[in-house]
Amino acid sequence: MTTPTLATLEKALKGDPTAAATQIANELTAGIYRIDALAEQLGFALTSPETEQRVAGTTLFSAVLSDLPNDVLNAKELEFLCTFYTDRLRDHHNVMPAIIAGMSALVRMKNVPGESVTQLLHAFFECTTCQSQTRSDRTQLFDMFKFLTSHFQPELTKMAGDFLYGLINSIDGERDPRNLDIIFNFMPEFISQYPLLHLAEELVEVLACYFPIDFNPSKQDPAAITRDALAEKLTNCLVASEQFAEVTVSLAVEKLQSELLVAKLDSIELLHQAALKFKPAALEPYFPQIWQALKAETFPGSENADVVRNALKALAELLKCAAKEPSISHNHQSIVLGVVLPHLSDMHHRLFPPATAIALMCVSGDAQYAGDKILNTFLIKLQTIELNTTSSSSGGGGNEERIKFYHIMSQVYKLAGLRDALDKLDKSILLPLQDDVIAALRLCEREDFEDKQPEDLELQRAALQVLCKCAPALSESQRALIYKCLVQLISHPHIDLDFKSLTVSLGALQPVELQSNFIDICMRNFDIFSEFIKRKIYTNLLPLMPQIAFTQRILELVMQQAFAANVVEPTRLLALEALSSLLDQEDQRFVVELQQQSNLLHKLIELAQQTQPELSLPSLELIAAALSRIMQHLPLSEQSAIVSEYLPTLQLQLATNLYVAKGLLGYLHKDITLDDHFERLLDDLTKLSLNADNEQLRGIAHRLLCSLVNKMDNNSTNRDHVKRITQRLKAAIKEGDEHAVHALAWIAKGLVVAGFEEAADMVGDLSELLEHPTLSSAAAVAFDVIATEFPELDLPVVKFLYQQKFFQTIMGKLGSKLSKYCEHHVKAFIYVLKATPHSVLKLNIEQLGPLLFTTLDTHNDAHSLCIALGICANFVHHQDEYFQAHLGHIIPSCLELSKQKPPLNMQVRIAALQLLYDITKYPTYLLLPHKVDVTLVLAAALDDPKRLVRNAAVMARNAWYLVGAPTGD
Amino acid sequence: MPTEIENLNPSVYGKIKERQITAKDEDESIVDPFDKREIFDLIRNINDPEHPLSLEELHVVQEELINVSDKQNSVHINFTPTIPHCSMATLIGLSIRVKLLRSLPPRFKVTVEITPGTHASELAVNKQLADKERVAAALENQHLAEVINQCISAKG
Repeated sequence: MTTPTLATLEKALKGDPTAAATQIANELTAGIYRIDALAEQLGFALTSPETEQRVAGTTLFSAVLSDLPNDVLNAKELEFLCTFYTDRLRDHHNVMPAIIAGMSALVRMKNVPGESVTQLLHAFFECTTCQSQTRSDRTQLFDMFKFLTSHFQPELTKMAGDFLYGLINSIDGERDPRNLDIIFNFMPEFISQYPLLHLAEELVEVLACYFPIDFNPSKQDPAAITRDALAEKLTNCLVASEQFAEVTVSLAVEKLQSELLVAKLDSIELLHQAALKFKPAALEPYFPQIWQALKAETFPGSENADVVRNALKALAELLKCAAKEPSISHNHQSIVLGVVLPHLSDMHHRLFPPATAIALMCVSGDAQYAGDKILNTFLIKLQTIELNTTSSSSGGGGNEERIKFYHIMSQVYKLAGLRDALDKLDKSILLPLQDDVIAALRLCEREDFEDKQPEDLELQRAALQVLCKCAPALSESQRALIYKCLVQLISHPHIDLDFKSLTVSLGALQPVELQSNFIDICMRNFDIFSEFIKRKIYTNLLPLMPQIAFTQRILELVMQQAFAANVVEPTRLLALEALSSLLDQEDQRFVVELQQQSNLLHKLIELAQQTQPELSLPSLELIAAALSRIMQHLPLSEQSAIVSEYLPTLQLQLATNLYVAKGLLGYLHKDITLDDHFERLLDDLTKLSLNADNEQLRGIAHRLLCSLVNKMDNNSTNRDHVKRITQRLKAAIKEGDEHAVHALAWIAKGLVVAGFEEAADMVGDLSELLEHPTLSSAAAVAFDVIATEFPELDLPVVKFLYQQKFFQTIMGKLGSKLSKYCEHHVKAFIYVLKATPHSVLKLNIEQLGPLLFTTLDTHNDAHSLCIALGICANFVHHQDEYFQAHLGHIIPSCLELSKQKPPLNMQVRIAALQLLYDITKYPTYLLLPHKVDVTLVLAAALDDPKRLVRNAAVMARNAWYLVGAPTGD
Repeated sequence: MPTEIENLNPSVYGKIKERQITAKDEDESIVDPFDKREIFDLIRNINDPEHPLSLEELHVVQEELINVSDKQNSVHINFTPTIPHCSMATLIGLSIRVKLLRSLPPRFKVTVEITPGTHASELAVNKQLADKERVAAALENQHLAEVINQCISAKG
């Protein structure tokens, strides 16, 4: 076979060129004929005097080139083709799209010679301009430039200004966001790699005219280019070369003065990026200019919090980058601090808060220089304010200011600490400053400090905060004073100040000192202290536990107090509390080690089971919590061993043993099989639940039952056990036993969550009970139990989407009754709705809506009303359309509910008023017809006897007054 | 809004803490009387017409300058303009009045006056604020209503 015949080609030109091009490309790839033969054969069209014919010919030829794999043609052929296309560039405008397609295919060929590419580009820039092409051709061109800049760097560099000039001309005036996206994508790399010669300014000006980007993407745009993405890329272009610094900075400063929020934010971001990319020396000449611009936004600050935050961030970045060069940094800092420092001395000044914010940014930039200056300002000011012992009686006065200063100082210290500059700060400023803080703390050593209220200790709290942050900078004598003061604080009979973080940081720095000056004293006199002091000692010592120097001593203290035989109840309770919180705060490794070294679990169980003297319920509760905490952290094998060791001996009828069981089983891993004990546990717990009088014990039994059936292995034996228990409970229910309904509800909960089939039957039984003459309200509560989530209850087996499934089951079971609005059914259903995810409710809103509205109109149960109002509020919050269509129904219902009516409580009134407030977010035209009614009726709620209701009424009524009123927005 | 701000750099004071909710507040059977703090909470968040600050922060309204008698159905408020010739005084007073009109039950008689001796044309302003007809007429004025709504539309 040879080249395609004239007739075939003519046919292809008239018909579908793509199909023909693919075929020809395949034949070329297979080597059936060469490209020059094709060109010759196609010559009649390529050089035809008819423009249309030339367009068709060139299109076909370019299509063939784009379909070819990029390694088929050799260098000679490509050179020939490039020359051909170079000549064609002078052709008629209509032929241009086809030529561009061909060029862009050619330059991507593997063997194309560099000189041919430059020749092609020269001709292109000379003969035509990019901007006179259509949008899609320009896209092709920019894609081509992108490819060229990354693959032909040496050749393009050799073209020197010509290529750059051509490129700038091509970009200049581009308006399409899709093309701009391509340009902004490849330009930063190009700019950073190519010499910009004398054209840097032209280039940056072409780019600068897009700043700030103003573009609203259409919603149907498939390319999904967003304004923010474009803005980010443009910013990268503008900071790509240090030669741009002057233009970029003046651009940002100029646009920062704009009224447009977007322009402001973009300019700030540009300055931020400039700080990151440009060297401090490059930016130094423009810093005064930048600072003036940023000052206008931050000092006293614009109203937009985003602008202020970002401007501060940019300033901090500028200062931080400058800090690498001390001389530049000090120049910058003195310019900024010169403005803000004078305003730091009067806290009532309006400029005080922004001055503080800027001062802290200075510290985060150059902690040593700025820290010294700022702390010195505070020192001078603090020396002029007298330390006031009676802060509350004299109306705040000096101490209010001191507290404020301490807060800022602690932040300065913290920042300096983070930048490792704490030890570089000037000691001659730090020491007197720290003396002042210690003096403030030591006020509590004075005798007239006895009758202080907790809220009067604000100064001491602030002082502790500072000391905690400046711990490494404290002198030895200062530390001695602090220890003395801490001992005083901890043994004080009334004051409870939290200084955990101070002891922790001191402990890390000076373990020996802290040991002898503070911990020893606490331990030595521990037994004679009152309960209040003991509790304080525990809270302040436990955080020191992770520090190896103190671990053993503190642990010994806790253990001795918890387990020694001669300890009496309140002390033991405290120690157990401490032990629980210790287990809560420490990590797994610590807990496991503790268990291995001291067999804590065994000790706890023994303690729980001791009979002389018997432990109180709160103590048992703490032991159970500690046990379950330890169990959670132990490896599976140990958990299993412990269960088989202790479980058989437990007699669950005894309160002590029940608590131990709660501790052991509550958080047992779900993979540990309990089959051997399952039957006995079920029996005992059910018996307990039916017979016990103590509500607390029954509650524990219920939770254990729920957790047990949830975790049980899904085999027939276990399910038979559950079935048997269910039968027994049903028999009890027949006799009218309310306890049995509760027990059944908890078992059902465990099964529902785990997705067992039996759950549906149980739920069915419970829903039948809703018609029972005496047990109906208990049955309604049962649905509440099933639906509510209890965070402390461990239900590890969770069926995917069980809430949705449960909702559907209930819908099916109660459907017919619900449509008749039977009271208990509706109540039970509302409980279920509370726990159902919003999306499921939204799907079924057509059926649920009438039910919710009926609930709002029946005023007899506050709890279900609150839930219904909560659900409505959630819908209204999402601006739901169904509710929008039924505003005429909800608004009068809520108005009715907002009036005081026993037996409904204030929560209902508040929720109704809150809902009325939320409704004001709907479009004004929907609300206006109701405005007069609502504002009139709400006047009654303004005189409600409860203040919280009145507050909600004020919010709602004021919001309704603003509906449709002129507000200038 | 005026183009030139009269008091450029006012002193700014701290805000008081939010009212703590006590067990009494939660108890349905106890009646909470209207007190100074409640009235103060109603007006402290009103915005100043000139600055992005609340009346509380500028000490224009203070809790001590409020007198409430729940039994006699009366509320008396004194407010203090930041400077003696403040042209915004009437507007501030009007905002306080309107806010209370919307937030207090109608049984209360509300009096809003300038703290004696703190404003150049104290009597004239007080007279204007006490005149119900004038207050009603002011709210009919589109532009005035807009400014007042802006001032009182802050949270709370």
